[in-house]
Amino acid sequence: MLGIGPLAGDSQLSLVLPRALAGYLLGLLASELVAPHPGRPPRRSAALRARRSGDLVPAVARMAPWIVLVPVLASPLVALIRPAGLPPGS
Amino acid sequence: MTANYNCWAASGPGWPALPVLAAAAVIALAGLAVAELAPAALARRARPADDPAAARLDDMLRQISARTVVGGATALGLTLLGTLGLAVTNEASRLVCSPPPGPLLPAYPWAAHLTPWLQLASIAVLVAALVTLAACRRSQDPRRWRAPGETS
Repeated sequence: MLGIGPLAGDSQLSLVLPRALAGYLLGLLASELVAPHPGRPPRRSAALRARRSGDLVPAVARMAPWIVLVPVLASPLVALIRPAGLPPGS
Repeated sequence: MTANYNCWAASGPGWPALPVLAAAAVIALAGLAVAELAPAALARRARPADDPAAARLDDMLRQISARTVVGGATALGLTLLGTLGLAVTNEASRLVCSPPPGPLLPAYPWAAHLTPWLQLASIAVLVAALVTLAACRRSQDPRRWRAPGETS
Protein backbone atom coordinates (compact mmCIF):
# COMPACT_ATOMS: atom_id res chain seq x y z
CA MET A 1 0.00 0.00 0.00
CA LEU A 2 2.80 2.43 0.82
CA GLY A 3 5.54 0.97 -1.34
CA ILE A 4 7.75 -0.48 1.38
CA GLY A 5 8.56 -4.10 2.18
CA PRO A 6 5.58 -6.38 1.62
CA LEU A 7 3.58 -3.29 0.70
CA ALA A 8 5.48 -2.87 -2.55
CA GLY A 9 3.67 -5.68 -4.33
CA ASP A 10 1.26 -3.37 -6.10
CA SER A 11 2.72 -1.37 -8.95
CA GLN A 12 -0.34 0.60 -10.02
CA LEU A 13 0.67 4.10 -11.02
CA SER A 14 -2.80 5.41 -10.18
CA LEU A 15 -2.14 4.64 -6.52
CA VAL A 16 1.11 6.56 -6.26
CA LEU A 17 -0.48 9.78 -4.98
CA PRO A 18 -2.73 8.05 -2.40
CA ARG A 19 0.28 6.08 -1.19
CA ALA A 20 2.33 9.25 -0.88
CA LEU A 21 -0.49 10.91 1.06
CA ALA A 22 -0.81 7.92 3.37
CA GLY A 23 2.94 7.98 3.99
CA TYR A 24 2.86 11.69 4.72
CA LEU A 25 -0.01 11.27 7.19
CA LEU A 26 1.74 8.38 8.89
CA GLY A 27 4.81 10.58 9.32
CA LEU A 28 2.62 13.39 10.62
CA LEU A 29 1.16 11.15 13.31
CA ALA A 30 4.57 9.77 14.23
CA SER A 31 6.02 13.27 14.53
CA GLU A 32 3.25 14.34 16.90
CA LEU A 33 3.80 11.23 19.00
CA VAL A 34 7.54 11.70 19.35
CA ALA A 35 7.57 15.51 19.46
CA PRO A 36 9.85 16.78 22.25
CA HIS A 37 7.89 17.96 25.24
CA PRO A 38 8.94 21.06 27.14
CA GLY A 39 10.65 20.51 30.43
CA ARG A 40 8.79 20.31 33.69
CA PRO A 41 7.50 23.77 34.60
CA PRO A 42 8.85 25.34 37.78
CA ARG A 43 5.49 25.16 39.50
CA ARG A 44 2.47 22.98 38.95
CA SER A 45 -1.01 24.40 38.95
CA ALA A 46 -3.79 23.02 41.05
CA ALA A 47 -6.61 21.70 38.91
CA LEU A 48 -10.20 21.72 40.12
CA ARG A 49 -11.04 18.86 37.82
CA ALA A 50 -9.08 16.23 35.99
CA ARG A 51 -8.11 17.16 32.46
CA ARG A 52 -9.24 14.81 29.75
CA SER A 53 -8.48 14.52 26.07
CA GLY A 54 -12.07 15.65 25.45
CA ASP A 55 -11.06 19.09 26.72
CA LEU A 56 -8.66 19.49 23.79
CA VAL A 57 -10.81 18.35 20.88
CA PRO A 58 -14.59 17.93 20.56
CA ALA A 59 -16.01 14.48 21.13
CA VAL A 60 -17.29 14.36 17.56
CA ALA A 61 -13.79 14.95 16.22
CA ARG A 62 -12.41 12.21 18.47
CA MET A 63 -14.91 9.76 17.02
CA ALA A 64 -13.88 10.48 13.43
CA PRO A 65 -10.66 8.34 13.46
CA TRP A 66 -12.67 5.39 14.78
CA ILE A 67 -15.32 5.79 12.09
CA VAL A 68 -12.82 5.75 9.22
CA LEU A 69 -10.09 3.47 10.61
CA VAL A 70 -12.21 0.59 11.94
CA PRO A 71 -13.41 -0.36 8.40
CA VAL A 72 -9.76 -0.44 7.30
CA LEU A 73 -9.05 -2.91 10.11
CA ALA A 74 -11.48 -5.26 8.39
CA SER A 75 -9.86 -4.80 4.98
CA PRO A 76 -8.02 -8.21 5.03
CA LEU A 77 -11.46 -9.75 4.55
CA VAL A 78 -11.41 -8.31 1.02
CA ALA A 79 -8.73 -10.89 0.17
CA LEU A 80 -11.31 -13.64 0.68
CA ILE A 81 -13.19 -12.52 -2.43
CA ARG A 82 -12.28 -14.93 -5.23
CA PRO A 83 -12.69 -14.50 -8.99
CA ALA A 84 -15.66 -16.16 -10.62
CA GLY A 85 -15.09 -19.85 -11.29
CA LEU A 86 -12.20 -20.21 -8.88
CA PRO A 87 -12.78 -22.16 -5.68
CA PRO A 88 -11.55 -20.65 -2.37
CA GLY A 89 -7.88 -21.33 -1.75
CA SER A 90 -6.93 -21.63 -5.41
CA MET B 1 -17.33 -30.96 -35.12
CA THR B 2 -16.53 -28.07 -32.74
CA ALA B 3 -16.36 -24.38 -33.54
CA ASN B 4 -13.05 -22.61 -33.20
CA TYR B 5 -13.29 -20.56 -30.02
CA ASN B 6 -10.84 -17.73 -29.38
CA CYS B 7 -11.07 -15.42 -26.41
CA TRP B 8 -8.74 -12.71 -25.18
CA ALA B 9 -9.18 -10.77 -21.96
CA ALA B 10 -6.74 -8.21 -20.60
CA SER B 11 -5.10 -9.09 -17.31
CA GLY B 12 -5.31 -6.49 -14.59
CA PRO B 13 -2.93 -5.57 -11.77
CA GLY B 14 -4.60 -8.21 -9.60
CA TRP B 15 -6.87 -8.17 -6.61
CA PRO B 16 -5.24 -6.56 -3.54
CA ALA B 17 -3.11 -9.24 -1.91
CA LEU B 18 -3.53 -10.31 1.70
CA PRO B 19 -0.10 -8.93 2.83
CA VAL B 20 -1.01 -5.53 1.39
CA LEU B 21 -4.41 -5.55 3.05
CA ALA B 22 -2.95 -6.77 6.34
CA ALA B 23 -0.35 -4.00 6.20
CA ALA B 24 -3.13 -1.46 5.67
CA ALA B 25 -4.93 -2.87 8.71
CA VAL B 26 -1.75 -2.63 10.81
CA ILE B 27 -1.26 0.98 9.70
CA ALA B 28 -4.88 1.72 10.60
CA LEU B 29 -4.36 0.13 14.01
CA ALA B 30 -1.26 2.26 14.57
CA GLY B 31 -3.15 5.39 13.56
CA LEU B 32 -5.97 4.51 15.92
CA ALA B 33 -3.53 3.96 18.77
CA VAL B 34 -1.81 7.30 18.17
CA ALA B 35 -5.19 9.05 17.92
CA GLU B 36 -6.09 7.73 21.36
CA LEU B 37 -2.75 7.88 23.16
CA ALA B 38 -1.41 11.25 22.02
CA PRO B 39 -4.39 13.42 23.15
CA ALA B 40 -4.48 11.55 26.46
CA ALA B 41 -0.77 12.25 26.97
CA LEU B 42 -1.32 15.90 26.07
CA ALA B 43 -4.13 16.20 28.63
CA ARG B 44 -1.98 14.68 31.37
CA ARG B 45 0.98 16.97 30.78
CA ALA B 46 1.66 19.49 33.56
CA ARG B 47 0.39 23.01 32.94
CA PRO B 48 2.54 26.06 33.73
CA ALA B 49 1.00 28.27 36.38
CA ASP B 50 3.52 31.11 36.70
CA ASP B 51 2.13 33.25 33.93
CA PRO B 52 -1.47 33.31 32.62
CA ALA B 53 -0.20 34.14 29.13
CA ALA B 54 2.15 31.17 29.21
CA ALA B 55 -0.68 28.95 30.43
CA ARG B 56 -2.91 30.21 27.61
CA LEU B 57 -0.17 29.55 25.08
CA ASP B 58 0.32 26.08 26.53
CA ASP B 59 -3.40 25.37 26.14
CA MET B 60 -3.28 26.55 22.56
CA LEU B 61 -0.30 24.36 21.73
CA ARG B 62 -2.02 21.35 23.26
CA GLN B 63 -5.11 21.97 21.18
CA ILE B 64 -3.00 22.35 18.04
CA SER B 65 -1.29 19.02 18.69
CA ALA B 66 -4.54 17.28 19.55
CA ARG B 67 -6.26 18.57 16.42
CA THR B 68 -3.28 17.57 14.30
CA VAL B 69 -3.33 14.05 15.68
CA VAL B 70 -7.09 13.57 15.37
CA GLY B 71 -7.26 15.22 11.96
CA GLY B 72 -4.19 13.35 10.73
CA ALA B 73 -5.59 10.01 11.89
CA THR B 74 -8.90 10.77 10.20
CA ALA B 75 -7.16 11.80 6.99
CA LEU B 76 -5.02 8.65 7.17
CA GLY B 77 -8.11 6.48 7.45
CA LEU B 78 -9.80 8.27 4.56
CA THR B 79 -6.64 7.88 2.47
CA LEU B 80 -6.44 4.16 3.19
CA LEU B 81 -10.12 3.71 2.37
CA GLY B 82 -9.77 5.67 -0.87
CA THR B 83 -6.66 3.77 -1.89
CA LEU B 84 -8.32 0.43 -1.20
CA GLY B 85 -11.33 1.54 -3.20
CA LEU B 86 -9.18 2.50 -6.18
CA ALA B 87 -7.23 -0.76 -5.97
CA VAL B 88 -10.45 -2.77 -5.96
CA THR B 89 -11.98 -0.68 -8.75
CA ASN B 90 -9.21 -1.51 -11.20
CA GLU B 91 -9.70 -5.23 -10.74
CA ALA B 92 -13.47 -5.25 -10.23
CA SER B 93 -14.00 -4.10 -13.80
CA ARG B 94 -11.86 -6.93 -15.24
CA LEU B 95 -13.49 -9.39 -17.63
CA VAL B 96 -12.67 -13.07 -18.05
CA CYS B 97 -13.41 -15.56 -20.77
CA SER B 98 -16.50 -17.63 -20.30
CA PRO B 99 -16.81 -21.31 -21.21
CA PRO B 100 -17.24 -21.47 -25.01
CA PRO B 101 -19.18 -20.09 -26.64
CA GLY B 102 -20.09 -16.91 -24.81
CA PRO B 103 -19.26 -13.30 -24.12
CA LEU B 104 -16.70 -12.08 -21.59
CA LEU B 105 -17.82 -12.30 -18.00
CA PRO B 106 -16.84 -10.08 -15.06
CA ALA B 107 -14.10 -11.69 -12.99
CA TYR B 108 -15.71 -10.43 -9.79
CA PRO B 109 -19.48 -10.31 -10.43
CA TRP B 110 -20.22 -8.97 -6.95
CA ALA B 111 -17.66 -6.18 -7.20
CA ALA B 112 -18.56 -5.42 -10.82
CA HIS B 113 -21.87 -4.03 -9.64
CA LEU B 114 -19.95 -1.42 -7.66
CA THR B 115 -17.69 -0.16 -10.43
CA PRO B 116 -20.00 2.61 -11.74
CA TRP B 117 -19.59 4.55 -8.52
CA LEU B 118 -16.68 2.93 -6.67
CA GLN B 119 -13.98 4.90 -8.47
CA LEU B 120 -15.83 8.18 -7.99
CA ALA B 121 -16.45 7.39 -4.32
CA SER B 122 -12.78 6.50 -3.79
CA ILE B 123 -11.62 9.76 -5.32
CA ALA B 124 -14.18 11.65 -3.22
CA VAL B 125 -12.83 9.97 -0.08
CA LEU B 126 -9.27 10.99 -1.03
CA VAL B 127 -10.43 14.57 -1.56
CA ALA B 128 -12.16 14.41 1.84
CA ALA B 129 -8.82 13.38 3.36
CA LEU B 130 -7.16 16.46 1.90
CA VAL B 131 -10.02 18.68 3.07
CA THR B 132 -9.76 17.22 6.57
CA LEU B 133 -6.05 17.90 6.64
CA ALA B 134 -6.54 21.45 5.35
CA ALA B 135 -9.27 22.09 7.91
CA CYS B 136 -6.98 21.03 10.73
CA ARG B 137 -4.25 23.30 9.43
CA ARG B 138 -6.68 26.20 9.16
CA SER B 139 -7.90 25.79 12.70
CA GLN B 140 -4.29 25.92 13.89
CA ASP B 141 -3.94 29.55 12.85
CA PRO B 142 -3.41 31.41 16.17
CA ARG B 143 -5.40 34.34 14.81
CA ARG B 144 -8.45 32.06 14.68
CA TRP B 145 -7.90 30.52 18.08
CA ARG B 146 -10.24 31.40 20.91
CA ALA B 147 -9.92 30.52 24.54
CA PRO B 148 -12.68 28.32 25.98
CA GLY B 149 -15.64 30.49 26.91
CA GLU B 150 -14.62 33.33 24.61
CA THR B 151 -17.56 34.27 22.40
CA SER B 152 -16.61 36.41 19.41
